[in-house]
Amino acid sequence: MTRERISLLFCTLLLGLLSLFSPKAFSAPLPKSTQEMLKKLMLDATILFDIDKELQVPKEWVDGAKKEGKLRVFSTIDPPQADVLFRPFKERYPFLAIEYNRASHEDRAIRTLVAYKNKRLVTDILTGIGGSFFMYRETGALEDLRQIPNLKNIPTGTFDPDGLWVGMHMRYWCMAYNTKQVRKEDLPKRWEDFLSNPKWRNGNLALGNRPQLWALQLWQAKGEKWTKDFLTKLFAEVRPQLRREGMNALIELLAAGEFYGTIPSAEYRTYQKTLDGAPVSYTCPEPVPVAVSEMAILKGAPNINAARLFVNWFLSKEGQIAQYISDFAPPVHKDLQRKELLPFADQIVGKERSLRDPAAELEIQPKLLEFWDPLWLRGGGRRR
Amino acid sequence: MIRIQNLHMRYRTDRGEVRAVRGISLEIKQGQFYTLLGPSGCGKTTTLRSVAGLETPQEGEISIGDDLVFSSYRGISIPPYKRDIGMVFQSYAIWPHMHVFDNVAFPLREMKRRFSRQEIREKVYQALSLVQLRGLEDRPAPFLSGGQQQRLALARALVKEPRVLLLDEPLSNLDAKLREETRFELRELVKRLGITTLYVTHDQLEALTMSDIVAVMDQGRIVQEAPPMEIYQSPRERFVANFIGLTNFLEGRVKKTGQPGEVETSSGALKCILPEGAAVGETVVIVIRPEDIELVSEPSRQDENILEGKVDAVIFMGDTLECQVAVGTKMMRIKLHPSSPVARGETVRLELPAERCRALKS
Amino acid sequence: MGVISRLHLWQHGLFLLVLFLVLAPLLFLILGSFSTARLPADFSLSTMGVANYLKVYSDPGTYELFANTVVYVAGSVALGTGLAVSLAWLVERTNMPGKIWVYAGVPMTLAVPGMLQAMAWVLLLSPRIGFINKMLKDLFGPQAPIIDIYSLGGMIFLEGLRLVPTAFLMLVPLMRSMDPTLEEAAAVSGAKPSSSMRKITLRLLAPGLVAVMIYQAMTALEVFEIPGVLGLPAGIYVFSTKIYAIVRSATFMPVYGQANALAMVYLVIAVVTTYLYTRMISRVERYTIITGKGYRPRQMELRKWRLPALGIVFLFLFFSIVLPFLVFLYTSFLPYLQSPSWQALQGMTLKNYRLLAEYGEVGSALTNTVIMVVVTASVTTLLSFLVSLVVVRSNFWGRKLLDQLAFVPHAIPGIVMGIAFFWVFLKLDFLPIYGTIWAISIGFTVNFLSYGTRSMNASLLQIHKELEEAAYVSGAPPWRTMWRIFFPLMLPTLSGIWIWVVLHAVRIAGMPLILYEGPQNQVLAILIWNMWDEGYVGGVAAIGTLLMIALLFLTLAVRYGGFRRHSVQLVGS
Repeated sequence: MTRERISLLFCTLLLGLLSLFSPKAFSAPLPKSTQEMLKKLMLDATILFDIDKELQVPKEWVDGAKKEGKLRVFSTIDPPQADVLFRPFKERYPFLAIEYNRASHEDRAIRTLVAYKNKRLVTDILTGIGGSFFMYRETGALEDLRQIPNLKNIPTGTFDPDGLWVGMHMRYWCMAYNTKQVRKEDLPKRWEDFLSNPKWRNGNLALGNRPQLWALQLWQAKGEKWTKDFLTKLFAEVRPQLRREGMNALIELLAAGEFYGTIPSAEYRTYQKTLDGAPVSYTCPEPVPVAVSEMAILKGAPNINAARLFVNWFLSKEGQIAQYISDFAPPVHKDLQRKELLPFADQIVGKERSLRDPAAELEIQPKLLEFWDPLWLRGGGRRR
Repeated sequence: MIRIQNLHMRYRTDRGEVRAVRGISLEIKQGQFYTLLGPSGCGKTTTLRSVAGLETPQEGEISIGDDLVFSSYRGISIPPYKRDIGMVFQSYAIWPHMHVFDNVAFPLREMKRRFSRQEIREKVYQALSLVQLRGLEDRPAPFLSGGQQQRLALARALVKEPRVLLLDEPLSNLDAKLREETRFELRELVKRLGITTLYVTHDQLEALTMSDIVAVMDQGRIVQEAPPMEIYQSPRERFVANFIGLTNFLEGRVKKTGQPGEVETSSGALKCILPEGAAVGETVVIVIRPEDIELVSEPSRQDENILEGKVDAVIFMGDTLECQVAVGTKMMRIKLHPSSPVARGETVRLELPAERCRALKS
Repeated sequence: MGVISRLHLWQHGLFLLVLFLVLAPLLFLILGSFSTARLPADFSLSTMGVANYLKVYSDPGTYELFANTVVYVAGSVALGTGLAVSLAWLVERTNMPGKIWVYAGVPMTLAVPGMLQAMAWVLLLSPRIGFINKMLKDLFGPQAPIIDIYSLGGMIFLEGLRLVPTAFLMLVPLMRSMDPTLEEAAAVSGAKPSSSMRKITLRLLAPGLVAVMIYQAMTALEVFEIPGVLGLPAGIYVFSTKIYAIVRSATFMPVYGQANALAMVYLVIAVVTTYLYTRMISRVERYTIITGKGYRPRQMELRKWRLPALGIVFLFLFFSIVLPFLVFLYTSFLPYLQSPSWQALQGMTLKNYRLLAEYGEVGSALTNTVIMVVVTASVTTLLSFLVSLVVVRSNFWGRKLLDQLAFVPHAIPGIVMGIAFFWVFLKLDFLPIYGTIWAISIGFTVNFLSYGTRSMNASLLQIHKELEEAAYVSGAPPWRTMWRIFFPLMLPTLSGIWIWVVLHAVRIAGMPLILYEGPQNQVLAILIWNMWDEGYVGGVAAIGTLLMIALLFLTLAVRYGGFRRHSVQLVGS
């Protein structure tokens, strides 16, 4: 043989060997929708190389799910976004049907619990329980999710120690601001800057009635005294607008110019608004308040197996990427903490952060609310 | 044609039980025009509605023709839509959502026998012509005048050629002139068609001018049943006399029996026709119509009834002159020709022909 | 109807049904106010107590609530009735041009749901970003006056506007029924027009006017949508919104019993006003002289005021219908909320409408609404018909009581009714009604029954018994009489009630919000409310525009389809 021919043979053999060991050879092809997702995000398929292993579940779950009815999911995302999210899941489990309902009003958690207490299970999976969690716990209304295999993908502190809820995504609660009204120089680097910069007075700053989303983390990081001091000064001196609207409504109002900045705002919503062309953007003073949104299964849910399959899939890399594609929610998965999957990454990455700890939450939240409520009610802002 | 026996009707009101009809029996022959006459509340309308089947009496029997339509004894009560009757209501009850044609055609469409469209049309036109409403078939019913509506109601009642026609004060909503014309036309029509007619009214003029037989009713009972002239001239009771036409009353005691008898009154002794079985000393009431009294200068006969009095009021009524003459303490009414030269304050002599004076038992 | 009165069985059944529908909620309302358990489901005799009453009445906020409500009701009634009287007087007693605008236009304003009107005005007069306020700022600089719609004044303004059409419809027949000869007698007795107006006209109108005002006060008291949209964000509570706030708390489990305790006060007030209203009505009846001859009262010459008068009318129509509609239309094409500007117009998009089409939620809300509305309207009409039949035409021993029972819900505000039924359905959980659209349907039916029976009673009374009897003697058996005579004569009233219920059931948000449990019983009004709350302004604008168009069409069709919307009769209940 000539030298060329030998090199060619050698290369071919090498390539052949390599291809044998390449991940693709060992895994099933990815669902079409997943491939599209990855393409859109310009991510390599190798990111999902171990997806099949991730999605291994006890056989009883699959068999049981086949016999159940439609899986009911309550969440806050828009139905078109939900369609995008569910597509890979539906490709993998074609025998399952999902009934998605957007239960977005703030009292949805209470309503679901009222119905539960009345022996009506209006959903299988619900998300965003928030401050009502202690009531759910009291009632024993949630399933223990510790047997979900992919629970191991998410770091401690992002799920309930008793397994009653799992974190769905990371949520950053900082300030969204109106780009027409606020210059770069005015953006606060630390929370104390709100107290010193006159820009935020005269009702130019808006506060939503959700201290447990941001102030709790400050309490965790800076301690009780600092937080109480900060809040008192904020209400008394800065006198922000105290708004009863929901967080999403506040961003809409922000875009219209009702105020210059609003706290707390979530990164994903603000990002979605910028895609509409609205003059809004996002900034995070340090420490950055971080929380996770909760997903749980109602105890005694009729479609329990389908629910488990879903939660498990949701906590896999595929599920997490699907979530990001659908509404820009940053993944909670340990291996997916990357800039491409984080809106306003430059505002968040590299800064000091404070993650809301479930245990701390239970301890601090009542005290925080007890302090906050009178401040709010007495109305330190420009109330109409 | 219509026979009623021992009809009793009671009903409850807030004020307790009312006995509207207390044992009425009557018989109407084929083709007769029979009127129930009386004041409101006397039971005449209730009786009529019982014949129609719109009221259910507590006791009695009613037959129309050969059919027993109601019997409390045998538990029979045929509903109105199965009795062969035509009825005209006091309010006419014209259906406002239908045209004239449909109003009249309605009974034909409800009959067991099915008529063709052609037949229905003919009959309707015929009925409308009878009441002179031909040409108005396509007019919506509410657009008719009062008189026209009344005729429409009549046409509707007659269109299926019933054996019996019932009329509940059909003329009371018309104005005076129309009433007079219609009275005449109505009687002519039913006589021509030969339909047995039961008529209810409180207007004695209507009753007297239209009927073959008049039954005067008071408080649920028939007080007198007779042809009009007899009712008018020979009322058997004070009530009847009072109700029919204007009357003068003179109370007194029987002085002499016989024909004519003599009655002693506060205005003197008067000769009059006594009721049967009248005894001397009995209290009676003399009844005489205003138009029977004459104004005289000289008595026309010996020992005729003459009363002297002073003219108190003279009222020109268009076709008569009504005078009120004070005789002693009594006020007598007389009717004179409009051109009579009578003046207030004048002393006059009234002649009361004995054969026109009837005495009634008190 | 001989046959009807002979079948006593169904009359008893009807009576029991209405008795239950009206009294069961009231019973639960009262009992619930004493319950200290958190949830209605946990109610039991052992948890009774007066804790709720103590909490509610020792809270100073409750008295502020009281004051707010009084100011709000008084203000809006004054404004609304004042406007309505002026409009009614202009059309009935003057020679103003263009009266058709008033006759046709004023009732049309009922087609605009209160919630949407409030939201449109928020977009206009929100203190910092309202279109009008921004325009003022552009024109007059930072010292420009700001008109803040989130205020008692704003609430009074809007509710006043909304009270006008009903008041107008009640006042017109009142003015028409005045005998002109009474004024003429004053004139020939030497009275000047102004003193004739004062001493005769106004005095004669007074009882009717007061009755209208009381009626409007009852309406203003119970309305939820306006104070909900304008007052809640600013923390200005009136009774209806406070009850809602207690029940729909977002951060803690509501103590439902407290809502009941508050509702009881509300109920008492409502009952008192109903009593006053009926008293006034009997006075009106004394003063009303129906001229059988059809004289029209004398018309006053306006001369130079003719055009300004027309101007007032147009202004009213503009504020009530045109402006809100335009605001929604404009906003529905915006990707995000911004004041009108060239830039905004350039950025217009169909995104909101497209999203509506894609949201399964919208589709299901629409379906739910259509089903609920049609069922409610039909059941209400049927039930009103049956009840009126018994009340007016039969000898049933309990018919007077039945009539009063049917009228009672009118005195109960919608929100309170919602709470009452909330308890009923939660407690009677063997009936699978809680959380379904049937819950809303039942609540509405009981509420609207009072209107339906008033209307039906008046109508039935007008059908002379002899019309039926004439049919009997003409050979028609009862069922055919019903079909060929009775039913065609009742048709205008039946369809009038049906349409009225449809128009009302679509717009009301208060009661449905209380009974709302999830997407399966979400109706349009709730959807709009929720979307607004979340800031989906574009979505609200899109739905609002479409809904207003649909309702305007419906109202127009009703007018010209021959079923004239009968003017509400004060007299004749």
